[in-house]
Amino acid sequence: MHKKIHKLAMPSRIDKIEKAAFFVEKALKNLKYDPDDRDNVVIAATEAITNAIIHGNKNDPNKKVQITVEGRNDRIVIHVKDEGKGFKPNKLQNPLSPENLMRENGRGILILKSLMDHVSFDFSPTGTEIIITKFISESKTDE
Amino acid sequence: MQIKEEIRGNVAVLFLKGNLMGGPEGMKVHEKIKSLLTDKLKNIVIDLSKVKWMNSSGLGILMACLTSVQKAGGNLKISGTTDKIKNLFMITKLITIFETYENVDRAVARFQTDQTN
Repeated sequence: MHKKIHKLAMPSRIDKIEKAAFFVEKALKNLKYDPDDRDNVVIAATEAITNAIIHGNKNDPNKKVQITVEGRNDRIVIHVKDEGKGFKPNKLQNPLSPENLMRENGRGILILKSLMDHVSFDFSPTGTEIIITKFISESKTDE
Repeated sequence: MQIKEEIRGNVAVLFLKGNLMGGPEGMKVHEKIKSLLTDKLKNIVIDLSKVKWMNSSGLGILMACLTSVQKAGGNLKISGTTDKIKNLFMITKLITIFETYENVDRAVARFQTDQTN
């Protein structure tokens, strides 16, 4: 299967999030991904990267966030890895509960899961990796 | 993130251009709102029509703005919600919290209607 891979290691600085978004966008452009869906994938990627910076690496600029954008014929797979201790996905508060609706944070994973087709987490002693996948329909790619 | 301010009657409109994704750039929007409230401008519209990417951090900034405006006894409306941004409001159910309008004119007109009723 044809595969293109783009990699970026960035410091854990939230002021670099836009740069990371542009990296993902550029990688998707090279894959000739449908522009209508591209922005949603970029937004989903920024959710994973923001979590890695803030919750995984606790904003420590010496800790890296590794981003890999993998383009296959039928899907985009993005890996975001931090150096943190991980979290329990099932322990996250439901941002849709009335008591949480006015909160300023806690919606990242919800958005991520809504915009992508598949989301998985890999917790290891060296850090947490989130893997997000979006399938591409035949009509949406020129490859 | 560029912020352009325009005063229309007793309504302050902030036109945002760029990406609303957290960090110091996004905080500028909340600072701007607080400065309007200090100047007793409590009817505010934030226009998102020129915002390319917004994520949950951006939504968090809008929530912070809304809370500040409501605490000051004012009202905040959102305009220029593209399909992409509307989708985020739907996913997060914030569509039930924010008043959203197709464009600035409609949001400002709504303020005027609110005042005459």
